[in-house]
Amino acid sequence: MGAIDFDSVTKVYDDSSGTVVAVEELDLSVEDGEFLVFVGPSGCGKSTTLRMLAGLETVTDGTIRIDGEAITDKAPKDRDIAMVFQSYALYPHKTVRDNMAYGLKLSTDLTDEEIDRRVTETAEMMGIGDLLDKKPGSLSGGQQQRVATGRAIVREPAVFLFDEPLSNLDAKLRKHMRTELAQIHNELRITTIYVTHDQEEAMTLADRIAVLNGGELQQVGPPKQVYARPANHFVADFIGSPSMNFVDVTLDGQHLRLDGPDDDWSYEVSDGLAEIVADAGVTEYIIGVRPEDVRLGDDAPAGKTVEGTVEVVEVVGSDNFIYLESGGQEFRYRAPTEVEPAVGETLTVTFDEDHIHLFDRDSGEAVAHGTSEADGSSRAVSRSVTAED
Amino acid sequence: MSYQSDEQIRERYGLEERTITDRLRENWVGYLFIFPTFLMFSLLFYYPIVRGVYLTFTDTKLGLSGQFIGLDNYYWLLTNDLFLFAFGWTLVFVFGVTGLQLVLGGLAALLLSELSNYRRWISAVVMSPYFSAPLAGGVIWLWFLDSSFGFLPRVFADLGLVAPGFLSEGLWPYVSLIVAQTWHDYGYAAIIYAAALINIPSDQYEAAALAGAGRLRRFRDVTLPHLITPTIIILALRTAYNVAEFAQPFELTGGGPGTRTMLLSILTYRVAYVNNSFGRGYTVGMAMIVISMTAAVFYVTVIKGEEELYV
Amino acid sequence: MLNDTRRTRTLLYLGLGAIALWALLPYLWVLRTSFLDSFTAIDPNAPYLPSLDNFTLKSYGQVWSRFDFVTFFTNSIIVSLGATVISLAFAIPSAYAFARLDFPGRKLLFYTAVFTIMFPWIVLTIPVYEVFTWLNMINTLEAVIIALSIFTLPQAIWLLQGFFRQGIPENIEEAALLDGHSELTAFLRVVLPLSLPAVAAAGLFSFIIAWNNFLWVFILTTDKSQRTATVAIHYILGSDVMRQWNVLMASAVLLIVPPVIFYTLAQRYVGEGIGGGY
Repeated sequence: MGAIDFDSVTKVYDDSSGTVVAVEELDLSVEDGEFLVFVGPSGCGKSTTLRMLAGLETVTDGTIRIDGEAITDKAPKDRDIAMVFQSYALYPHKTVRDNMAYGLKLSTDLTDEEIDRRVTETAEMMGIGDLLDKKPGSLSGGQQQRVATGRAIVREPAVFLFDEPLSNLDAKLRKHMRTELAQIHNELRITTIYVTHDQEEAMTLADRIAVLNGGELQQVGPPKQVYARPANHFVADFIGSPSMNFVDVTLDGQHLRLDGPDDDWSYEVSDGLAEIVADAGVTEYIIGVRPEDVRLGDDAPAGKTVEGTVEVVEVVGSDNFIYLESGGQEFRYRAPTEVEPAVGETLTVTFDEDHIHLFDRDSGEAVAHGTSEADGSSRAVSRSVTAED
Repeated sequence: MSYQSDEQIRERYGLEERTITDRLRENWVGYLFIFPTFLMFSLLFYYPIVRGVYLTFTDTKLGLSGQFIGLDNYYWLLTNDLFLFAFGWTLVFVFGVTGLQLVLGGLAALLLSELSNYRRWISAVVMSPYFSAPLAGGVIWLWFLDSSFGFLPRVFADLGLVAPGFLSEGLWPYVSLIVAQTWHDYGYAAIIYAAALINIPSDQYEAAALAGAGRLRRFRDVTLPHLITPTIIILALRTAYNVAEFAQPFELTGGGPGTRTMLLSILTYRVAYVNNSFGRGYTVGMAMIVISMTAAVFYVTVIKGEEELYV
Repeated sequence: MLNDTRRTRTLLYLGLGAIALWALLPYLWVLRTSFLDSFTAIDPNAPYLPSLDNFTLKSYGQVWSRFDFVTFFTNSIIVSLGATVISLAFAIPSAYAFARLDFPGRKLLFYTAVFTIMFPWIVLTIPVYEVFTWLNMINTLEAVIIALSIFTLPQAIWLLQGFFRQGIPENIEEAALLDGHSELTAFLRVVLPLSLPAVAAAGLFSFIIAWNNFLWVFILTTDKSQRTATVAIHYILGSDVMRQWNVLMASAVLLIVPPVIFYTLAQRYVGEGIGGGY
């Protein structure tokens, strides 16, 4: 069992260098067996949140519960959790076997034989069975990562915590370990909280993603939802690579048109979208379009096209990334391989109304995703998720 | 994040109500670990320093508690020719020795850094004077310069020259003291510089070489900038230590002949323990404290700049 | 280094040779005297490198019988070991707290400790002498041990905190906390075993500093029986008795050799830790 509740959890660092709110009134529930990923830029509070859950940081205000029991004041060892650190934090003077057995020896009554059996079993599962008698210093980064993960698994805790566990690996190994971690979670079904700054890692691993920025929860939901219906401008910008195109637009209600920064840039909208937008009572917007939702606009209806000058063409094999200059800023277009314009050429592109995102320029909140209304303020989203659970 | 002042944040989360007991409870491990040292420092360091400053306003002698006499000791100090001489000579000694140690230590470190084989052993030889007892340093140089049996006078004689009295004649005792002290401690500068040189990434040299920089230019553009912080650290620390240096000059000349090479450290000793005047002894020491602590302020300022490394 | 030429190599060796000569020559003169018999030692006509016939180890035997050097060196070992043990016992936890724990007041205490390294100790002896007088401890080895341990403490702290900062993997205590340790046991059972090499180096360093110290022993003792080797050599040199230079120089060599050997052994650590001084 390992259901987790964050109830208005706040962390304030208060020392001689100033008073900083690292995490502000976080409300979040994680179901037993769920894989939840905290993602956000550095300094957003994701690691602090994880460390408060582990008991490595004190909680300034609020309560954390595991299975309904408040653990806020408990020592780390009494929380039934295991953690994998970015630096792995293996004991350099102990063998792999002793590293993995150490927690069991300290905190359980298991016999030595039982501990040894579990260590060997877990090591086989992690593919490090032949390394058991080596010291961490003689292992490669990937092997150390496996040992660190194995050390957590062997404990069979209620909750796994991962603090950027793959950041120190090279790109290829990182992807490989990502798949392995997903498999392990599928097998064990132990509640996992995973912190990363890599949105791609978050998307591929998570049952649900929690996006944090500046200590505040921006949005929480399944990867698809966070991707397709970002709650605000920050989430839309952070999730997705290459990231979403943004253009500042002003609604011309009379002509049902979004006017860009100069005469070249305008986009006609339908009655349905105009209605949603009119209800919101805002005229200053940021329009967002994902690069993969852009296509060539030769046969598109007039008024729904954008023109741009080709600046860079990146051939990645499966697609071509084309960087256009339009309305005085960069506009990214993920094109099929057959579209390979020359640099300097003018390209007409379009995108469907279903694929555009509109954000209130003042608050950054999403107003519309395609022709449907956005889900309301991001705060409300996080609260409603809490209520459902 | 909503922007609030520190006070607003503290008020909102009740941080202002936290008492000293709360803080102690939260950080008890840190305080527990630091407490024994703090206690020891208090008893044998902080208290004595304060007590010493008080002594300077009294005529305390060994074994007798003295009377409060106001600024008399300071008046005595500033009108005392020997003190004024010792103060000036100490400054000359300290800056001469520190400067020479810096140059010689830097040179030794630079040469050693170019060496690929046997570096450890040659380093050990080059730095060895630093690890000998300062008193032994005094004995060694006393013997080395001894006018009857010493090495240097003998070399002079064998060359048909008349050796001066290295520890007694004219300016020679001053030179001898400075040279002997440089010998003993230049290894310190060499150690610090060597550590700094090892930490210069070699790709910086390669990049400079690719850019067409010659040996001298590489030294100026790559090596020198990395030596600025160590230089200030050595200057500050060696200044403090050279001011406080006692054993080696005490053994070598003891301030003599007569009082001609009197340093503040030896004068402090003589006033306090030979004349039994603790109050005046500490008053002489105040001059040393002023020099040392000025150096310490420089030092702390520098290491504060590299807080990541040290604090 | 890049593009070496024969000429620069030669210059390099010449420079190093000159520095090594400068470092060693005063030593060698002492060493030469210590290996000669008492007559040749002061013979102005003996060659710089006397013939092998005149070399003898006799003076090293006489050191122990002519003076009370057994007592002096025993005292040196006692006070150095005592000071090393005490200063390590204090330095290990406080260096750890400075390096890896965070608590209000840490920086202030740390900088004060830095100031202690740079304080002119000769001045400090005056009020400390008073303290020991009140405690009725003047002229005891215990007082010398306590004084030397406070003298070596700041440097031991400095050396160890550098190691704790860089030589212990980050998060290791936190991993231990999650594995079932408390903060205290995590330090004792995980961090300390990892630190043994650095603790040994700090101990060696403290030992050298205490062994070499002259000031505190000189100030705090009056009895011959309480003298360490440094102070004893000072008194013998200053006395009017017929000096046997070869024996005296042999005792100086015995005083110098242990620290130099220890330094060579601990060289790797000393370079990193010495930033805080001597």
